Amino acid sequence: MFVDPAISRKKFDQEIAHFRAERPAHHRRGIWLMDATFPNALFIFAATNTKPHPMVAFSVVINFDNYDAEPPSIQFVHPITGDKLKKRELPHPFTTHVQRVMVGPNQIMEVPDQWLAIAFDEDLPPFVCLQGVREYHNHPAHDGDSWWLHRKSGKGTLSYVLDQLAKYGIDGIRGVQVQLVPTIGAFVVQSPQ
Amino acid sequence: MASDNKIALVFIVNGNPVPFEANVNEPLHAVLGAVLAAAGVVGEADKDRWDFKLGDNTLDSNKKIGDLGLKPGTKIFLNSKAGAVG
Repeated sequence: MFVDPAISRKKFDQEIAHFRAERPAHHRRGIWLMDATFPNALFIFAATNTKPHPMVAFSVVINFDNYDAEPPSIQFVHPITGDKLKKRELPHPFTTHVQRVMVGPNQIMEVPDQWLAIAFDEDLPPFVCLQGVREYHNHPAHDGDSWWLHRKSGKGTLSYVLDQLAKYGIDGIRGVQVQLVPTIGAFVVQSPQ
Repeated sequence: MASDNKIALVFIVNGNPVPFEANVNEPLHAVLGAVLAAAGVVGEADKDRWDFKLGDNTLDSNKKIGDLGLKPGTKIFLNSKAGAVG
């Protein structure tokens, strides 16, 4: 840690205060703050349009160590246990862009080609690959896109990262997909007369 | 006191409330530079990089403020769109 924790804590408190000031709007969108103990804030994101009830879609811990000499870090966690999630355990891929591909006469298919949550293996924890998030700027592929180019742009604020997570994580959820797999439980036998 | 062609709005920029008196005859995006400057945001005053949100609705920033049906004191969330992803 290279930033005095007292400075990061003050900025953390300010970010949390901004969230709390607009709590009703955030709650209506499905963003709920569950805990804010410096340097971490735990949020759950609820899909508000699922029927018959809203459902918890996912949960993240946002870490503010070294803030804002470094942007915040985001980890997906289990909303109940707090355990870090693997990529395969995410509720959906957090698609940020789809490509329209013509697959036949008058047939266009939308193929996702960009995602917010990235992992190089389905069994590894995913990271949020987005400007204004620590994992993005620390990644060697983005060493030409320094955090210091964005630090005063609004990216990397709590409001910004929550908005992006909500936009790609819950705003588009309209329902749940249920898979029923029939299995043979037992034979039905008619007794001999 | 606001004059006839002015309306007092509150823009929430990255969580930070910015009270702003806007001209109802201007398009919504015309306030962007001044509101961002007041919020201390630098280098991002391109209207295509921002969403103006009222509740769940994204406002058309090309519309005149007077045509959006806003009441004085309305809170408009100004959210930066995602930059580079992936």
